[in-house]
Amino acid sequence: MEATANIDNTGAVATPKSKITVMNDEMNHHEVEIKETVGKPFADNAKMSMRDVNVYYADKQAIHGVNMDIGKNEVVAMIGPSGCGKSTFLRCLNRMNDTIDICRVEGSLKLEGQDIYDPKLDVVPLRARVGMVFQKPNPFPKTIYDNVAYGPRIHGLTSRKTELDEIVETSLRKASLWNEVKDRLHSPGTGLSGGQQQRLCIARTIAVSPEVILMDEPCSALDPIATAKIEELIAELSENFTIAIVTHSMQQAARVSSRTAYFHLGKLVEVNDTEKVFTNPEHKLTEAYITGRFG
Amino acid sequence: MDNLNLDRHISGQFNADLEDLKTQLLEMGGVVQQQIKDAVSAIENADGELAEKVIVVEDDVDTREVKIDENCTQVLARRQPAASDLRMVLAVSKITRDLERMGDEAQKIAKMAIALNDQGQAPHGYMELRHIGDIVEKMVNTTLDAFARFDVDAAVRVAKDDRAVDREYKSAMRELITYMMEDPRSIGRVMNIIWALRSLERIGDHARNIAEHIVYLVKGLDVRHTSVKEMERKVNDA
Repeated sequence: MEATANIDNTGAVATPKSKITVMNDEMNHHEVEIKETVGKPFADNAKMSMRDVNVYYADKQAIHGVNMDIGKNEVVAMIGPSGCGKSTFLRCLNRMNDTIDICRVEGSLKLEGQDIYDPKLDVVPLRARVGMVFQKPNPFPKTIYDNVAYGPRIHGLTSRKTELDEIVETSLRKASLWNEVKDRLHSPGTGLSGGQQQRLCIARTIAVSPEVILMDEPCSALDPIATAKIEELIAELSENFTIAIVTHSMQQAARVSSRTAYFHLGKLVEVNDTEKVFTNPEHKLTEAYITGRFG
Repeated sequence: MDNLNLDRHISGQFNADLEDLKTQLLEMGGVVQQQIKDAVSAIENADGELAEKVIVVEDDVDTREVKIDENCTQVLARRQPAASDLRMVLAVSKITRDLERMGDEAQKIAKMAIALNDQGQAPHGYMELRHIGDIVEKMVNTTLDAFARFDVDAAVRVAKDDRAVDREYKSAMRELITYMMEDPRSIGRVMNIIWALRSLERIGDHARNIAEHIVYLVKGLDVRHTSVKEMERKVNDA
């Protein structure tokens, strides 16, 4: 185990141990302390490594000393109650939080050993390497073709029409959308159904050949069938991409991920193999959350 | 958010469903426990009426098994339980199966009691029956207690008792075989006692299975197909 949540050698504010009072039937008071992340937060083949990450919105600390790795080609699910910091943490991974003025990120976040918060680093190529899919499908008001071709064009990945055609087709195929849209590539992307729009957004993300795909509740606006298609897609994509997904659906986390991270009040409580988390979690709070015992 | 009540679900109905499962299982356990006690006592006291009663109760046990299994299916389908809740539902479903089998064995013992009544009492084997019967009844009692209290130490004790039953059974078998060789006319009647002992030994095995399900329920450890030592070590390490 490496550094824990209570570190001040980075100059960060020492994390106060949060104490949560638990009452049971006999009204005995237990205290559940979150000291350090239990389970397996680190990976041997880390694609991204985060150490002692603290995030503040102005004076308020949203993330407290998070340490974890995301392994190459693995699907990590991040779960936790609303406001636990899972989305905030996810958004740190491609510096999406830079767009929020009052947000401040501390600690070390590395993509293949490279510090992604290096002031000299250009965020535009970073976000091509670490793509993101959002909760609500947000296709550009352009044609299906142009939605997918947008990234390769602005990143100058290709200038030849045939090559671009090929990228668009491959990306749509990888996103399992090609067969549904191949005859109407030049109609507007916004005319597709919700599930198709979300897959279009995934195609747009993978068109620039990212290494990591971040998904922030990608299915919460979709029906069960569209959700099943996206989940199927996540399994296929994990062969070539590293995926971190934030989800409110515990069943979804159980279905798609190989490791699950449980966040609670801005702390990373537990990271473990998904099969362990859903049958025999190590931490009492993880157990309480996934069995629906927060009341 | 500071006051968390970790012993209760947000959904009161879910809580009630799981509590019901537990209660129903313990009730079924109580019925089977009595069934075993009555079956042994029917042989000991040559009580044909009591033996008939044991056989009749079997229907009730079967109905309970089906009902509990149905309820487990409902909880799985409607609540998608996870972690300790999932283990609870799985354990209850497996334990009912072992309880039902115990009931079957008790019924076999009762049938032997009736046969012994018809053919005349066996000349030998009653002491062994009483002795093994006592251990097995105690085991069943301890398993049900262990389930009600989530007590893994008690579960380990049951596994140890099961070894004792196996030893006692083997030694009784040697003795009764010798007896049958000495007096072949007694074979038919002594065999009835042997079948009853065999059923008691099987009940002990089912109690041990239940003890293993309890370890899984409480600790999330699979201790099936392990020695008692290994089981004890795993439980203490966890």
